[in-house]
Amino acid sequence: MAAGYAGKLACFLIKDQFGDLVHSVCECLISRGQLSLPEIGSFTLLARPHLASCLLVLIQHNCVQAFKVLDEDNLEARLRYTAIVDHVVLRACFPLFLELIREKTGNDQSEELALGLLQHGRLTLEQLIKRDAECSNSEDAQSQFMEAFTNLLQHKLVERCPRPEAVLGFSDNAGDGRPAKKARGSSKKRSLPLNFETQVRRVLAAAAPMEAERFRGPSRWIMDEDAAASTPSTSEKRKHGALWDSSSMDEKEVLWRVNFEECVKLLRHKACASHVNFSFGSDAKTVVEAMLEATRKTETTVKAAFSDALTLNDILILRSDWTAPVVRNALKRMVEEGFINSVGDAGSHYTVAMQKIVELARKTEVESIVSQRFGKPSSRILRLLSKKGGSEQKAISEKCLIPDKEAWQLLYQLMKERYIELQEVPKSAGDRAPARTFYLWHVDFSKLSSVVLEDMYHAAYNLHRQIEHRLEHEKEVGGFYSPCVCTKKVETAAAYYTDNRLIV
Amino acid sequence: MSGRGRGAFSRGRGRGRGGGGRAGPIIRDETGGILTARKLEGPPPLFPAVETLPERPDITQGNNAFLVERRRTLHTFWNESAYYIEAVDKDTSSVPSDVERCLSRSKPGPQTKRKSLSLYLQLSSMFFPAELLGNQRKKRRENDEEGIWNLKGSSKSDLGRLDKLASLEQKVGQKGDKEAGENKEGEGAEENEEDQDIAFDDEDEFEDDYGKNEEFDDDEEYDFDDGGGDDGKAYNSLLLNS
Repeated sequence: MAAGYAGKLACFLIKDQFGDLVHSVCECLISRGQLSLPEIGSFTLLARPHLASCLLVLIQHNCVQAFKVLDEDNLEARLRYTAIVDHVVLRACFPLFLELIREKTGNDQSEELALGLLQHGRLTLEQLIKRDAECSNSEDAQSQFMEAFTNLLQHKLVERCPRPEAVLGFSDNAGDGRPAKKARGSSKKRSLPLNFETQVRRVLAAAAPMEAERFRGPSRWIMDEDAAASTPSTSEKRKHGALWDSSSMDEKEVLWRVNFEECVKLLRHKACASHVNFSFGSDAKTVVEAMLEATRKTETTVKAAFSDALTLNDILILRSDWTAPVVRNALKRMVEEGFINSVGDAGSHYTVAMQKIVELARKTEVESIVSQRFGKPSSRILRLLSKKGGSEQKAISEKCLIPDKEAWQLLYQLMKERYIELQEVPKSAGDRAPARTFYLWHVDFSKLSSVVLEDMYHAAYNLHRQIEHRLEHEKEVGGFYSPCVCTKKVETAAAYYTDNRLIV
Repeated sequence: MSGRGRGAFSRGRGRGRGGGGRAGPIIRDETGGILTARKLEGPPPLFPAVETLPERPDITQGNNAFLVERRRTLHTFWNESAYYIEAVDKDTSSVPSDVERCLSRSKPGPQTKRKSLSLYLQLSSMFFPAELLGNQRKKRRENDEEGIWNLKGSSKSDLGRLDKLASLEQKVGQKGDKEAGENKEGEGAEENEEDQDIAFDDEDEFEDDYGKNEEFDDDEEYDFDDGGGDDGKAYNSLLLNS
C-alpha cells in the first residue's frame, strides 16, 4: 500500500486525466494493494465491461502491471494486478521529459514521436507510422520518421514494453503479503510479507524484457541496414519499402513506450551538474556534464553510485574547446572535495561520485527549505546538528548564537515537523528522571529525506486541488482555460519535486 | 477532640476558602520563567495568515511557457480521447439526451463523440491479459480508422477557438446570401437542414432559448382571405335554403 500523499497525488492525476471510473479502479489498487479482477469488481462495484476498459486503459498507460505467482507445485495462481505509483506520479513530469528529449536529440520530429507515445502510453511501429503520416505533411516524412525513431533508440529514450503477464516463482513470495504455504515438516514461522515497493519492483523486473532485447530496433530495419552496406542502390528502395510494408512482425507485434528510467537518469545528471555548478562554477559543471553524458549508456540502474571510469585523455577528447589546464584544475578541486574519485593506477582514472553529489545536494536543498519555512536560525540549528551529531539544547543555543527561549521554541517546532529527533540518554542505567537524563537533539538524514519528499507530494497534491477548485469557479467564463498563477505553480511544483525527488 | 475535629474540619473548609483566591498550579518553563495561559479571543482562524510566502513565479521565465503549453496539450488530449471512460447514465429517459446543460459544457461529455477504445488498443493476448479482452474484440473497419491520430482540433489555444467561430460565422453569412438568391420561396425545412449541416461549436445561436422562436411566424397558417369567397358561398347557400 503506497504511503500517504504519493498515493493521493497519483489518484488525483488519474482522475484528472482519465475520469472517475478509471480513478476508482486506480484508487482501489493503490489503497488495497495487489488484487485480482473479481476482488477489484467487488470493491469498486463497477460492471464488468467498464472494469475491463478501465484496466485496459491503465495497462496501456503503464500504470498497472498484471502478474501471477506460482505456488509450491508450480501451478499458476489467479492473475493479479498491481498499481505502479511511481509511473503514475511521473505523469505530472511528462512536459519535463519532452523538454529533455528535445535537448538530447536536437530533433523536433523525435519530440513529436515521444509526444505521441506519451499521449497514447504505448504504440506499435505501424501505429506510429500512421500517426506520423496523418500529422505531418512533409514529402520526406518516411526518412524523417526513421531518423527520428533511430535517434530515440540510440539515446535509449524509447524501449520495448514489458510482458502483459509477469510470472513470479514461489520462492520470490512476491504475493500480496499472504504467508507462503507451509511445507510438511517445516518450521512454524511464517515468512514476513514483503514491502509493497519491493513487491512492485520484483513484478516489474519479472515483466521487463531482457536488456539486449529492450532497445533492439525493428528487425527489418537492421536487415536493411546490412543490405545498405552491400548494395546502396537497391537497398534505398528496400529501406523505404520496409516502412510501409506492414508485414514485418516487429512493426505490428512489438509495443514501444517512452523509457521513464532513462528520463529520470537524465534529470538526475542534470541535478548533479547544477549542484557542481553551485559549488565550483561553470567549468567544473561542463566537465561533469560531459563525463556523465559519455558514461550514461553504461549505467545499469537509475540510482547508480558512481559513473564509469574515464582517463584524462578520454575527458579532454569530449569537447574540442577545452584546454588541459582548465580541466585538470577543475578535476583537482572536485577530487579534493570528493565529488570525483580518482581510481586505478596512480589515480589515472576518474569517476563521478553521483551518490555523494546527490546527498550533498539534498542537504543544501533541505537547509534551504528549512530556512524558508522556519527562518535562518532554524537552518543554522539543522546545519550544526548534521555536522555535530547529538547536542543538548544549551550547547545548540550557544553555538548557533540564538537566545535560549527562541532555541527551545525552534527545536520543538522542528521536532513537531519531524525534521529532528530527541533522544533521552540517562546518566545512570534505569534512572530516567528528567533531572538525571541528557536530552540530545539529532538529525537522521535518511528519515529527513523521506519526510521532505512526503511534504513535496503533499504540496503538489494541494496545488493540483487548488487549480481544480479555481477552474470549477471559472467555468462560467465560456469554459476558457485561464492561465492563472496556479498553473505555473503546478509546473514549478512538478519540476521542483521531480528534481528534488531525485535529490531527496 | 471535638475542637480538634472542628478545627480540622474548619481547616479543611478554611483551606478551601483560603485557596479560592489563587489561580491554580504555577507552570514554569526550563529557564524558570512562569508560563501564563493566553486568553482566547474566539475560535482560531480557519486559514491563518502565512508570514513567509515564496516569491510569485513568473511564467515567462526560461522554458516555462513550453512546459505549460505541453501540459495543456497532453491534458486536453487525454480528456477528449477514448481513454477518458465515462459511465452512460441510463436513467435519463425523462430528459432527452440532446439537451445541453450548463455544467456539462466544460466537461468533455458524450457530445464530443469519442472514438472507440478498440481503435487505439491492440486488443490481443500478446499485449493484454486475456481475461480483460472478452467482448472487446470487434472487427475494425478501415473507414473507422481514418483521422484517429490527428486530433488537433481541441489542442488549439483558446484564441484559436475564437478564430474558428469567426470563420464559421463567415461561412454561415455566405451560405445565407446564397440561399436568399436561390430560394426566395423560403422553404423553412430546407433552411433548417442547411443550418444543421454547418459544424457549429458549442454556442449554436439557433439552438438556445433565444433562438428558438427566431423563425416562428404566427401568421403562417392563417389565410386572411377577404375576397369573400366563403361568405359568398354561405350567402348563396342561405339563399338556396330559403
